[in-house]
Amino acid sequence: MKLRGLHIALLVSLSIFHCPFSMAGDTVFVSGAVRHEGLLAHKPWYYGSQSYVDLSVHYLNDSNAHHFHSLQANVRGELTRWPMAGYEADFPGYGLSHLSLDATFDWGQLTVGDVYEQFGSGLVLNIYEDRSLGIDGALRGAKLHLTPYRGLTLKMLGGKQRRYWECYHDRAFGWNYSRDAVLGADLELDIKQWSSRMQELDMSLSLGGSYVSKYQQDDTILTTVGGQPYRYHLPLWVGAGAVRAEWGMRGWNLMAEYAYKANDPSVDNHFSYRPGDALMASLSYSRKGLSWFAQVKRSDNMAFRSDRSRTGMAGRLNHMPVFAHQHTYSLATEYPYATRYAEGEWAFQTELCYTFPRRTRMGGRYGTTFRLSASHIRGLASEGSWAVDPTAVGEYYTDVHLMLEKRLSERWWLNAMLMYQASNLDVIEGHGGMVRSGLGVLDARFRVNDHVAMRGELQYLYTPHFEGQWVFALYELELYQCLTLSGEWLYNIGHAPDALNEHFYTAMATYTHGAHRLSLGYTKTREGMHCSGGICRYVPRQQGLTLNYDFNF
Amino acid sequence: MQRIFSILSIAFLLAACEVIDPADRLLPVDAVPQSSRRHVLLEFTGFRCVNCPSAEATAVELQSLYAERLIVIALHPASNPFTKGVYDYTCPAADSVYRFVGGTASTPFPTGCINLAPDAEGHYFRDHELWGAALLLAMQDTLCPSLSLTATLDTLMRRVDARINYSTRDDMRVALWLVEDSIVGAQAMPDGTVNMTYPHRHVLRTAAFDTPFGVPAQTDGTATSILLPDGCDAAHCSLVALLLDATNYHILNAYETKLSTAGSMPDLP
Repeated sequence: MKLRGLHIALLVSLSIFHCPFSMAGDTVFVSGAVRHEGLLAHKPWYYGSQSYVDLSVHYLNDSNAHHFHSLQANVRGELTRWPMAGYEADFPGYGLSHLSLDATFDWGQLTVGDVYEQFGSGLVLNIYEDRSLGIDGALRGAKLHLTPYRGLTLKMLGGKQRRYWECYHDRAFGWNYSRDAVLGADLELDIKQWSSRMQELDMSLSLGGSYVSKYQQDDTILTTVGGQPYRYHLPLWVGAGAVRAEWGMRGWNLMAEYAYKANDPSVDNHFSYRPGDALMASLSYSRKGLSWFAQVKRSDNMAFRSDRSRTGMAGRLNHMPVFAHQHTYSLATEYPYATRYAEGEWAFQTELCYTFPRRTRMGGRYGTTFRLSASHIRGLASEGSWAVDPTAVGEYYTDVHLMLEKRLSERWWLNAMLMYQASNLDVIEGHGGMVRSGLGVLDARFRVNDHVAMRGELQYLYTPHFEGQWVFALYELELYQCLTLSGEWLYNIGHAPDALNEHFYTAMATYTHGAHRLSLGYTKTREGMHCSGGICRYVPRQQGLTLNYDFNF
Repeated sequence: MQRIFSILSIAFLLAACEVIDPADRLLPVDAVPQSSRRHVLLEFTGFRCVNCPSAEATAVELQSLYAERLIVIALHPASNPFTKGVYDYTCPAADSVYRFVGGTASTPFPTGCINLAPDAEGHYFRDHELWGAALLLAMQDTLCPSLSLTATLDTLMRRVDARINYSTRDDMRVALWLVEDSIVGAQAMPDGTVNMTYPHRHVLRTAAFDTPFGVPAQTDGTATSILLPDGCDAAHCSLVALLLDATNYHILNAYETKLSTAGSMPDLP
């Protein structure tokens, strides 16, 4: 309780702290954010909360003396000692989770401390933070970003990856590299900078390459062969590299990237010594009123972690782009897709978006936008194969949907969506079978006047599988741009083997004042998967009062 | 600036990557020390878990490797969605153990625990790929109190009378679990099918006393009875006696006897 009191006091004091100032021709200012999410659950009684305080002090050298531009110190405090349900066992903790110092010079940027970075599409390195999933893969070490020649960018980094609060078990606080460490470098060439002809044609061409090497001390991992026990001879250093090219001209863009990972026996791939690889290509076109893209990806055994014995959220070094549309409508996220890193997959995605111009028959007075999207993901025919698995169980995920966005009048907006979705829950969640569903969504917004607006949603999902049919309704009222009242209702109609026939609901009031945002509500949510970028976390059912606070300064 | 770039580039080209030749991928393992101690692998599983058969295969492999020195018990905890549905292999004792080791509705299956003891980092749950190494480490600890178990089955009353004998320690508890082997029923398989004739092995069915963590050890042993739950086939049932550390419930020793045979397990050297 003493710690909770301190935590509340810290939140309150920071919420009123906001102060830029300058001195002697240079500028110093402070920025940051405070975030708190809490749920007072009953059955049984429990208060789960996560609080984050980010603080940055910026120093700008306006005189640019010694080729030095700016310095930024960043610190983050986290209090996640009593989190909400659904996070991993190692997630709870508290302390200063992020420390970094960024210095910007004429020739580049140097960061010491916790660093985030992505090389290319992230096939070999993408370390990032996603609080909704409990992911923070920062490397504690250093990063150097150089531009030694025009059109040439070099990034180098090295450090020890954060895996929840492991660093606090070690007196070195994450600076001890004797057990594990990660090194990486990325080189990108912007050919356009060297070609006047390309500049005349407004054509862009970039080539890039990256290499990541991870070190981890030896482990004893047993196996049996012929009834006799053996231990795996594990590689202490594992390398992964990628090459990429991107071309663009007059609205067209073509990108391709290939990644290769050397032997990396781990829990993810059942200690297989097979190398992994991934190939991704995309083609897109856009102009005013029209956009289109198509992309394909084939990956195999590309789970890449800093700890070979880890599973779950922590320890990920790479992030394979998910080839499934990231929906925002509630029932459209009922059966999300989680990227198959170790097993591999073939993924195809395309989308066409067209806006009928205003004052045309199809466009009406304000224009009409149609968006047709399709995703299809299948497994590999066998380990290491470049063939697609043609069998029924080889279908992992399919999503075809048509969206309509139309402003009907000065005060009315209408969005509608029809969707077909197929999710192989056995692959994605480990149980549940194949679920094929159809979804219809109506989303209308009405602006009463400059101070009052309201929005309503109706959704219906039909499937004869798993939990069966669902209906969802939402109503939202916005008053004076500062107060929003909303209510949601979700009901499982059922008519399926695992039907729940149960009501779920949320009522919320959100008040916004300047940079402050406070939400208070009551919710009863169903269990399910929360996914972000193809990574999913199981969330058990929850019921209780919610309290969320955000402050940005 | 350019010189720094050149030096860094060359340095990075020397970055390591170790490729293990196929002929060198397996290394010999030292034999485990002799001991009379028996270890327990608690396998948390569920009939809806498509990857659990793979973990079961690992358990079978380890059982064949360590024979009587290893007792495998499968727990189907009701508080995990992998066990929910028409086929009920759950029991309150399994759920109690599951919650004790930190299991929740979101714990992914399959997973397991050795001797109800966490690893050096405080984790109870281990992926099945790591069970072998954890067992090897546990088997380095050869000290244990002695333990034996005899049981008599009253087939009419469906009651088992058990007598547990052990060398007494002050901080010790004794527990008695009933497990049933070869329960033929549904199991989701990795290929997406459901095997309706899958043999579920060594499923925890019930525990004696009010808790699966037993009662404080007595100076002259412990006697108790267990009623066979409805549907249990005595011919496939075994009793497992456990000696637990009273402070942390770590399993100090274990002993298994089948109900269909009178008497005891082979003595370990």
